[in-house]
Amino acid sequence: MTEITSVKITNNLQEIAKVISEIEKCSAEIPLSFEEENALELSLDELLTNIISYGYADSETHEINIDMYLEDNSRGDGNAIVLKITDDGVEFNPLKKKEVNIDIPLEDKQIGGLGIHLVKRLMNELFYERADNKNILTIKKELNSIKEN
Amino acid sequence: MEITTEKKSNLTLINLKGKLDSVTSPQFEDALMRLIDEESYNFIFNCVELDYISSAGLRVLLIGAKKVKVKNGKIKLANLKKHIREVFEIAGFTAIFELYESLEEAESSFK
Repeated sequence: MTEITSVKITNNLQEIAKVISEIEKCSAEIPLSFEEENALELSLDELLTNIISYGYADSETHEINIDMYLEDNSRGDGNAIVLKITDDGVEFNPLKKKEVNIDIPLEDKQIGGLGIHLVKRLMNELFYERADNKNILTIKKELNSIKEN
Repeated sequence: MEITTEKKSNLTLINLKGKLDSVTSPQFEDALMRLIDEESYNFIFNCVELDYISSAGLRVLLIGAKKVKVKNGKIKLANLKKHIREVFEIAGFTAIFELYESLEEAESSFK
């Protein structure tokens, strides 16, 4: 597993743009297809928005770390992107959230819960752990392009 | 995010440009709610220049759709980019919103 980049932001929604522009910067080098880039950006946006909006019981400034790695995909013929998001907010495992039912009529459709649903569908793997009073969420996206060597 | 609106005889056209995320969606929600308060209930959202949508943007669409439905109105969308249509599919929004390939088709569907 090779670390590609690491970004630190504070708990302010405006800061998410910093992470997105870092992904865009790395995109050509990795390389990511447009769909893969959008899937990663959207997933990060959803998860960080949740943390920043609901993750803190106080109004202090907190730091959120985003580490990005490249590793072999499960087929062994290409790469996967791994993103690790670490925050010191209240304990929250987004994977335990009740699944939203998307196949229901408009009247019954819930307003919330869509974000994590999108992340689950766009990523291949999600893993949550709580350690040192921190939430650590790791998400993985397998890339389509085949390795050249 | 840039939102421009155009009131036509039987519908309101909203052009969405840029990103609909948690930062920009409140602005979009305000604009849409104001139009609904002014008794516009039929909408076409032109998404030809919409580059990105997150659940924050989808949420506004859902609130809007629920509000206009009780007034027998509809929100229809035109010109969605491929990756945005994909997000709509994953979210189950293709079952709630009529999507059109062009503005002309969307407009004539209201006639």
